[in-house]
Amino acid sequence: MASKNKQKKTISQHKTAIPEIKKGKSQPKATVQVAKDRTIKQLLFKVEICVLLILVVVFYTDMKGYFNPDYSNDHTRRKWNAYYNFTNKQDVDVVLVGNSHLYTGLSPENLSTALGATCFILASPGTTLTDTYFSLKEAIKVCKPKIAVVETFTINDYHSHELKGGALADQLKSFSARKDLIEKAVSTPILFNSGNYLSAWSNSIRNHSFVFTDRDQISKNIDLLNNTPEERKELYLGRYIRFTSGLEDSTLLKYNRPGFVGYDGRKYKMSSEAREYITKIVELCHKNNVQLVFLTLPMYHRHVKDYQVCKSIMSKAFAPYNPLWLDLQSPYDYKAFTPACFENTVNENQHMTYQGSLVAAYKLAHFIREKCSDKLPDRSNEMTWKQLFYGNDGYFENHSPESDGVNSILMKDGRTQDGISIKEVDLVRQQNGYSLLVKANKQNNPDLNGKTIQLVVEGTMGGKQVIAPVEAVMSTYYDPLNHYLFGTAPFAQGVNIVAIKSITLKKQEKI
Amino acid sequence: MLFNSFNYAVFLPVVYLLYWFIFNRNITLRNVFLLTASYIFYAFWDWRFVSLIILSSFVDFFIGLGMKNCSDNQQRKRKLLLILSLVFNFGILGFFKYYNFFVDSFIEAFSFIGKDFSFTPLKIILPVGVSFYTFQSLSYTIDVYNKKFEPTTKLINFLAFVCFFPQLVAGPIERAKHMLPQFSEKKVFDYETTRSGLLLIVYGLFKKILIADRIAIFTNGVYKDLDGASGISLVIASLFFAFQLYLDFSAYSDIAIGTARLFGFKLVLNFRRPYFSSSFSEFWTRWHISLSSWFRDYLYFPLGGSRRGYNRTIVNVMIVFLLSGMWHGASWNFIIWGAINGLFIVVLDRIFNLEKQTGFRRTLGTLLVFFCWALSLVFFRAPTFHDAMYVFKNIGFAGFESIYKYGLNSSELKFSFVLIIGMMLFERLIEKKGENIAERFYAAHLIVRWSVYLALVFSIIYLGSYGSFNDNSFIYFQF
Repeated sequence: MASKNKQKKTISQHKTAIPEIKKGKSQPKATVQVAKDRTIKQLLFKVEICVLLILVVVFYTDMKGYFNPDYSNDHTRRKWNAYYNFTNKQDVDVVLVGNSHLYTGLSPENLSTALGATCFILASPGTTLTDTYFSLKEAIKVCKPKIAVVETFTINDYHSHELKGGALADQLKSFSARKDLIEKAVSTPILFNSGNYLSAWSNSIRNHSFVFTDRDQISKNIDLLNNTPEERKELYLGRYIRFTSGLEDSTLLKYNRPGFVGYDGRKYKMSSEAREYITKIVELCHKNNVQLVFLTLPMYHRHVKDYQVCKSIMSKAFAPYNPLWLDLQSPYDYKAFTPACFENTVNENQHMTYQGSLVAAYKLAHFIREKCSDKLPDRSNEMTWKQLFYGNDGYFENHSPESDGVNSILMKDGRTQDGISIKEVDLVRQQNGYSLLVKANKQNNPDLNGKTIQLVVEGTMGGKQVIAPVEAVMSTYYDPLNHYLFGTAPFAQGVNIVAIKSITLKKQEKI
Repeated sequence: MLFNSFNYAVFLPVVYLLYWFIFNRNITLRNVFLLTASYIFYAFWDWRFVSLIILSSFVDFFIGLGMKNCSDNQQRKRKLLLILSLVFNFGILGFFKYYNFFVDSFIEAFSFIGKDFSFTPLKIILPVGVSFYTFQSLSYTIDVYNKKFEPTTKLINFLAFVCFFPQLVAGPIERAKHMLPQFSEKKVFDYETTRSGLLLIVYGLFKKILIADRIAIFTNGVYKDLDGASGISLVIASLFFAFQLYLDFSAYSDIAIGTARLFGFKLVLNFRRPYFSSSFSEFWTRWHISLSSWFRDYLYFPLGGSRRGYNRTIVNVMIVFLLSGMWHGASWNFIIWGAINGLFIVVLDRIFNLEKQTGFRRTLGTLLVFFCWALSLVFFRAPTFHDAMYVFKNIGFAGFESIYKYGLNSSELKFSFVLIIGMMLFERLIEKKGENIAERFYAAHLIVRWSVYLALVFSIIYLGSYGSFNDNSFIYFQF
């Protein structure tokens, strides 16, 4: 047997190793002893072992997270983690998907409190409608919402396989943040060209260059293995407050330049892929009995030129499905969307500020209430819902405080001397101190928009009793569904309001 | 499809398994399979141009058959058929590669004497690998005409020979005499051949991904911002490009040869450690050997080679190098690059008597050859003649600009230098020890061998220069 296995073999030129050795020279053929006549299966077995070893090592470095990017600033990942945690405990009624315009431009807390539901933003920066579709698909799979809001900035002239630079990085980030492996596997060949498959799945592959470019991050990742940071406990529904101050006068002056255009609607194009995924989103929602709402968040009206061109392209694309579409760009609400609502830039991609996000949230809340209120449950009396939202931004503006020792109802179901029906007056603690919120029913009252309410309040200051008049002005940004909201400026520290002496509607001063 | 792409990482194993386990039972079936795989490979770039390869192959196949059917007294008909093949193949090249260049140059020449023509360049896509497969196909008809090779009657074999995927898009340019008979052979799996093929593939990927693509970031950065480049940056970029070009192209050739070995095919050698050449003549026997020998056999020798006196030899060398430069691309820069390299042979080799030096003088010759070559490559790399001249004017002059602004930080630059030096030392070792190294390696303990395999693979994965934001195509794909 041994002699059978042992045989002399002629190694011709092509059998030499790195890279060629004998080639180019006519050398005599060498004869060497070859121990065994090995088969293709033996070779394949070794190759398999090698491939397995490689996969195990790459998987290990991925699991350990050595090549993870800086997640502390990765809002997309935070959103998905929070969404999964959130839906473990309770349902999400409204899911909002889109890009950075959405997560900076809409307050989910206020939308939730206004609707008495739970709303969650699952938007990723710079993403496309295709990516949005897969995000929505996974979101629906995790927790079937009643309403899906799709922001329309993602509908543009993109082709997923041709994305480059920042757009590709954003898509990779969004993909990486999602958790459903099956959905991710299905979406991989659609979202990426084959050259990016491995980068999409493995941080070790994508960020291997950290070895040279960001060794600090590798060190941080190693530290994180031993010191996992505590999860933040505050309510997080996917919002990112990125801009707090609006358009400044100096910026506004730029719009006066002849021919200046911030966003040109005539340049708007929609790719065939975007059209395809409009259809898919409509079908997805229809199949899952989820009410679809398209939402267009505005940019400052002077920023946008020829929006109608852009709108007509979108309208044509939506037309076959006749979906609900709230377009806040046109018709534009000049009173509500003031310069304070927009990022201080004239760059094409203008986002909204925190103030703008409040206005947009209430606009959407009104739209949902008007068009599909039957789809949503009213959770405002559910204990778990209250526990989540109580005291958070928008709660007191929309709901009454409980007897919590801090916030209180000073007056309920009253009427002013002018006959205005007052639902309640609340004393609530806000960021800058205590202030009064006056809520007047929308029903049974005349139009109170732009009005001011005068109150005479009784309280104590430094142990002494004080009675003083205060003014509550109509809220600029909060627009609850059922009542008009008036708010006072925060009281000085040490002032303790105990009662309302009188309420009147301030008369308009004649000039 | 790029050799360093995910698609190829899937394509190759699938084709390999189908080849050995299903299609290798019958030679014709196997060749049909290889042909199909090769067309699929090419179609990944642009399926429309598969038809061009098929057309080119058909024309040369039938011209070969036509020559075969000519009797000895039909020499004129044979010549006509050869001319038809030449016209057809150079016609394809001329149209796709040189049309705009020729018309543009023609107009410029006339505008020089005061006559203006207007010309809107045609939007012509250059088919990947067209220079390679037309030369390969052409060599067949020339060899058949010269009766150096008996034309094949097997269409499938010929089609597979022209478009064999490992060497379809960037060579090595094979000769029918060497390659076509391999398509008629029965292939038997050979462990040693496959192992060496796999190692060559990994070695090629190592050269390409770890070194060539990394230093490409620097050279691309410098050439994108020539105005802002300091003299030292231009020096580094010029040296880096010499290594980039070599490592990039030799890596492609290694992967091509390695892949062919997996299927039991032997491709000719394309590079033989050219940077250890001590003369320019020697350099061209070690650099892009398949193209150099093509020009030698089909142009230089028919022109008379060196047998017609010194002056005629100079003319012949210059013709070869001018055309070789032009083969690389439709631009005056490539023609100048070719001319310079021709001049190196006819002037520097002779002045310094480089071919006959030994010892330390040989080392000096090697350095001279390398630095002259690196400088000539400025014309190869610079997008325009003016850019090339700008590099020459400013190279070496002091400047304050940082060399770290071109995409490689300090540690990556150092790493690049270490890799280049390491690679050259390794090549030096092979130059000295020859095949013993390979034999010793294969005879080494399993742990040693596997350590090397895994070190190569893991260094590619964790230290390689690749990713979604890098341009990792091979330089010679553009030709």
